[in-house]
Formats: sequence, C-alpha cells, structure tokens
Amino acid sequence: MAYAITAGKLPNPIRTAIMTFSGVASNFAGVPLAFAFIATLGRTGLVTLLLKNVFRINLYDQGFNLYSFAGLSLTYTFFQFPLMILVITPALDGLKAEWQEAAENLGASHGMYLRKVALPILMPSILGGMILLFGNSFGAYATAYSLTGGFINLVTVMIGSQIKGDILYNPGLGYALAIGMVIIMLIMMTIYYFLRRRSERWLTK
Amino acid sequence: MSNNNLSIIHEKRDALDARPKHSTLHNWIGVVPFFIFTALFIILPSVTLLVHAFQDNDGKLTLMNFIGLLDPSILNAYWISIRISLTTALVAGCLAS
Repeated sequence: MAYAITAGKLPNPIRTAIMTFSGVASNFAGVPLAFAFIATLGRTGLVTLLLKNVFRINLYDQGFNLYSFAGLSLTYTFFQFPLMILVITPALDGLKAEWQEAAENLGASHGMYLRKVALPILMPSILGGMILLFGNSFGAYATAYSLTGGFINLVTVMIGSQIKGDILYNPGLGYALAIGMVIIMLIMMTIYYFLRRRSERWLTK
Repeated sequence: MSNNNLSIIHEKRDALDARPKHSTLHNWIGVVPFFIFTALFIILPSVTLLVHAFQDNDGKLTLMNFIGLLDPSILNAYWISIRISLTTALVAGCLAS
C-alpha cells in the first residue's frame, strides 16, 4: 500500500490524506480503539448487524469472535498498519525511478524489478519497521485489557494484575515478568541484528 | 616554486580547516534534556526493575519470582504475547509496504 502511494501515479492530495490518516490512526490505541472495534465488530456492532440483517451473514456463527486471538490481532493491526506506512514511506521515496528504468532496459519485468532490486534495497528498512511493530504490540496493554477484559492473558495484562492486586498480588512476580519481556525483546533484537546484517551483506561488497 | 604556491592555495581552500575542530559546550547543552530523560525514564526504571525482580515482598534476596515464571499459565501468556506480536508485525509489515 505504501508502494502504491509512492511509486504509483496517484494524485498528491491522496498521498497527503493517507499520510495524515496514518499519523492519526497509528496513535489511536488503547481504550478508544477497543471501544471503536466493539462498536463496529462486537456482537451487536454496526458492521456485524449490517452483515447479519442485510447480507444474512452472521459473523459470529462463522467462527469470528472479536474477543479472541484473531479479533485482538485485527484490532492491533488497525494501529500497526498505519505505523508501518509511516516508517516505510521515506524508504520507498528513496527508490530512484532510474533504477526501475535501468532494470526494465535490461529486460526485467516489473515483478522481477520488485523482487531483485526494490526488495533487497528496502529489506533493512522493512525489518526495522517490523521490529518496531513487534515491540509496539508486545508492550500494548490498554487495548487488550479493555477489549477482552483479561480474557486473553497477555504478559502485559498479567503484570498489571500482579501489581494492581485485585485478586493476585505479587509485585515481585510482576517485576520478574517484566524482566522476561526485556529478555524476549533482547532476543528479538539479536535476531533482527543478524537478519539486518544478512540483508545488508551486498552493500558492503 | 610554482608547485609550492599551488599547495598553499590548496590548503587555504580546504573547507575542513574552516570548521571548528571540536564541538563546543554550546552544542552539548542542546542534548542535555535527552540524556536527563533517558536516565530518569529508561535507565533508572530498568535498574529498579532488575533489582526488585530478585527481591521478595519483604525485600530479601530471592529467586522465587523467576521460578514462578515457569507456571504454565504464565508461559502461555508469554506465548500468546509473542504470537500476537509476530502475527501483527508480519501482517501489517507485509501489507503496508
């Protein structure tokens, strides 16, 4: 999608509109986001009822449930997607039109250009964006908590319940949970570091 | 002789010499808020986190907190967290770019 708004020949106002929307939506998280999704895709949400009454499709009979893993992923994607657009667009702007022309002069198809030229150039930025997204959703708390009410046990929700002390109260365990998250993040950063080094290998030659 | 003259002119035109050699104190003041912020809100909490993780509720040293991490429900929570983060990062990352 970001490729469409940079390399595609869309009029400039569309790009501005999408970027502005991305800026707003990527910060739209937490309780408001959870409410927005309950109001649209919850059991009596707008879209759910629309599909049910007009198109006779019952989402919840088809196995969809907003308060499940898939539903939570969908909700997270709502702010992850615009964030990725925001961080990847500058990198896509850096793709020079000359490279594509050169590749096509040498007989490459558009798909070949994307796979053999654009993707290797963009790989470090894409990986960087993905690690940002991973950290972003790994640390999200309010969205998951207000959407599922603790029905899905994320680590952040667990830390919250250990520290707030409604039923469970063990701050020490909360601290240990947080250290565990730090360790997982360090592992992810290490994987990212090696993947990035691998994807940048051709640059140093 | 003429060669010598040329080199003098060359040195005079060297733009690198025109720049100040070291960053001045003035420049450092600008980044001080950043270091104060990282120290107060990243480094300090991380250290407290690390220290408290090894203490029980009375402040005595213990490893019980980490043994408590091996509880199935907690391991499950970690697994769900990792899965959901990976899913959303990969899906959003691929679709958005």
